[in-house]
Amino acid sequence: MLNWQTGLIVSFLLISATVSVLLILLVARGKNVPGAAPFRLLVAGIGIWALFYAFEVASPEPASKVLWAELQYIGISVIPVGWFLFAQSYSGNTAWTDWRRFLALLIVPAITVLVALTNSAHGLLWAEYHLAAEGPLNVLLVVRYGVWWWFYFVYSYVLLLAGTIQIFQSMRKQASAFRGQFGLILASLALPWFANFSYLSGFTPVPHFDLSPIAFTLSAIFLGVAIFRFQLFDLVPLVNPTAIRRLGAAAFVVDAKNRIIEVNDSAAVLMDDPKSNPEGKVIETVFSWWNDLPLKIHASSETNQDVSLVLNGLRRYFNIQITPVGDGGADSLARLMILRDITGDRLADEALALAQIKTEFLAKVGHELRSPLTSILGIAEMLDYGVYGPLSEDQTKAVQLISDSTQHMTRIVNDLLQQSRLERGTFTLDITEFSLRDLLNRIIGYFKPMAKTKGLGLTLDVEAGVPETIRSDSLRLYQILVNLIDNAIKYTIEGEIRIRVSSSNEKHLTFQIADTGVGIPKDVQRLIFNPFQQVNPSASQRESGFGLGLSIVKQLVGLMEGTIEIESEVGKGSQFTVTLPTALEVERQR
Amino acid sequence: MSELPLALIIEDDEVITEIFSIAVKEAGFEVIVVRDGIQALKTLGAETPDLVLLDLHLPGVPGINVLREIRKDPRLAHTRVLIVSADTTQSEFMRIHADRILIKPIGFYAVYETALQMREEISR
Repeated sequence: MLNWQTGLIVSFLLISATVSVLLILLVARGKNVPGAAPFRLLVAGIGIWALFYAFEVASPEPASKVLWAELQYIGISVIPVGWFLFAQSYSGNTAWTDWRRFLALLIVPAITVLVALTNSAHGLLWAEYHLAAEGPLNVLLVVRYGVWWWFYFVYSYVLLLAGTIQIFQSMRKQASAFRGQFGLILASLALPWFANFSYLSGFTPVPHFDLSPIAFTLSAIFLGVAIFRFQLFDLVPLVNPTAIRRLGAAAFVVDAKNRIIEVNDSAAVLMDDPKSNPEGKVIETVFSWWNDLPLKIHASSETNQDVSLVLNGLRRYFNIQITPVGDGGADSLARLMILRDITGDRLADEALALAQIKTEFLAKVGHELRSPLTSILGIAEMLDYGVYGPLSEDQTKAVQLISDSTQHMTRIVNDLLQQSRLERGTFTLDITEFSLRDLLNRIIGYFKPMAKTKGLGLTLDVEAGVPETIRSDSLRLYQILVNLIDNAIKYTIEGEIRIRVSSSNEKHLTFQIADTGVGIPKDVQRLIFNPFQQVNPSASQRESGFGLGLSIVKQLVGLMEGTIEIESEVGKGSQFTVTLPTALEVERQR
Repeated sequence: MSELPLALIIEDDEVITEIFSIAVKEAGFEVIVVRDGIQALKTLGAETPDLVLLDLHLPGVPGINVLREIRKDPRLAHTRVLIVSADTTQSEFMRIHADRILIKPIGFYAVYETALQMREEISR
């Protein structure tokens, strides 16, 4: 009974069914490959459809032809679901991996199969149909489709279309890298649509023959080739592209041949040409600094290493983390590269280490200078005392100069040492109760001769309400006031230095040291408390020192829980205001 | 000479030792000089100085241990200790047990005047 056309078509359909089984077996080998499970579902549907279609065509009995036609729906109904889920896996969308959603997608197909098998009772699938009377193929012809068929038609086409669009979008990005693969996928996407369209519109090479199962089989073959020839699944769902884009660090993905697949915005900045499209290009043509990295990194499939790079002439530090992606063999693995810019941390570490070295250096130098300074000062004073016999007037003057210079140097060394101790945090206050009046008198006594020599007035004004004794560090308070008054005398040519002590409340003391000196320009005022900052670069060598005085004063005031402020006008004078607590309770350690 | 109070100078620097011994002699002491901690302990076992001028950085036994030995020995109960150190940090022990502390760099006059004061305290 079979004519040659029927024989040919049955052969084709049986080949399709056989190919489907082979594809399922092949894909089963890489069972953990993403997208493999929906792919198998898709191919199984195609195989069932093709097989039962072959039976329908080949079957001599009209009744059995109808049964085989109905049974084809077992295959037909799962194809859209398989295709849709495959598209989700392919583009890295994991939302549909949930089995409940999977079962929900299968509700319509299951009903469709039931409706198909019971169609003779209600005609919901095929309202009117007959077997083809003419033409080479003796198959079931549907004259009028039932309500459920239309419903199913819409449902399946929505799924097919959604999946197709999704695959197309995710492929398009990588088109340049995977040109051959892209062609195959495009063909596999287009074929079933052509076949289906041709059948529904009646333009078929063989009248009444639906090419869809064969077209779908070809699609499945193309997809299969894409999978095995190009390791499609090893590459594609690699890392969710959205996740890479969201990473704060620079990140990019390269395939096994070092071709760029994905680059996020932070990594784009590191490209030679941040505006170019890097996809599909080899890594070093996009990031030329890649060649400067240690060889180890080039070869690594997995590493976490800190490297330094020169980018745009600036040295930067990065932590490079390389993670292999996919589960194919070693030579098919893609790599996810994450570069974290650790330049800031590095520079901070280096600055800290330098500061540490500086502090230790200051302490060492300061300490080592003490013995020779003691010798110089001691011998100069011995000469002055007459241990080595009486001195002439000139000799006495010379010896005095040696003593003065040595004492000046001693102050510098002391400042350096104190600064280094403040920086090391080993500075401790020594808090006792002492007479403020005594301290002030000692200071005035110390400066009176100096002021007199320069022809300057020096007045001390202690307001009512200032306590007689206070709890503080007397030596440090002495040091603060001596520093400020010394500066005032140093930078005042004529006029006076006024020291005023007041107490606005019983908890705080205010010391004001005002002079009629040269003054400090506004832009310099914020700098004068920095270490090693010269207030007045024109000060003579003997007076200049290291510029540590005010820095130390500020730090000491801070340690003593006080504040220091400056008001100054060039040519009119300066006023320093120090406010300190009258009672420091516990010994404070910095 | 024997009625002069006795000072023991413990200092390893040659020039500083010279300066300190002249200053202390000028202040009215008889002076013995030792250059390290071990010598210092030996001398303290034999002599009973009225004043010990003690450097803290010593070869052999550290100065602070010498101070500890002095304070442990009842025979040296009246010995006054003047510490001359390059260290600006002072331990609690030092502050309690030293009579005076001078921080280097220190000149001839400072040592001379301090020794003079201490001699007056001793003769009182």
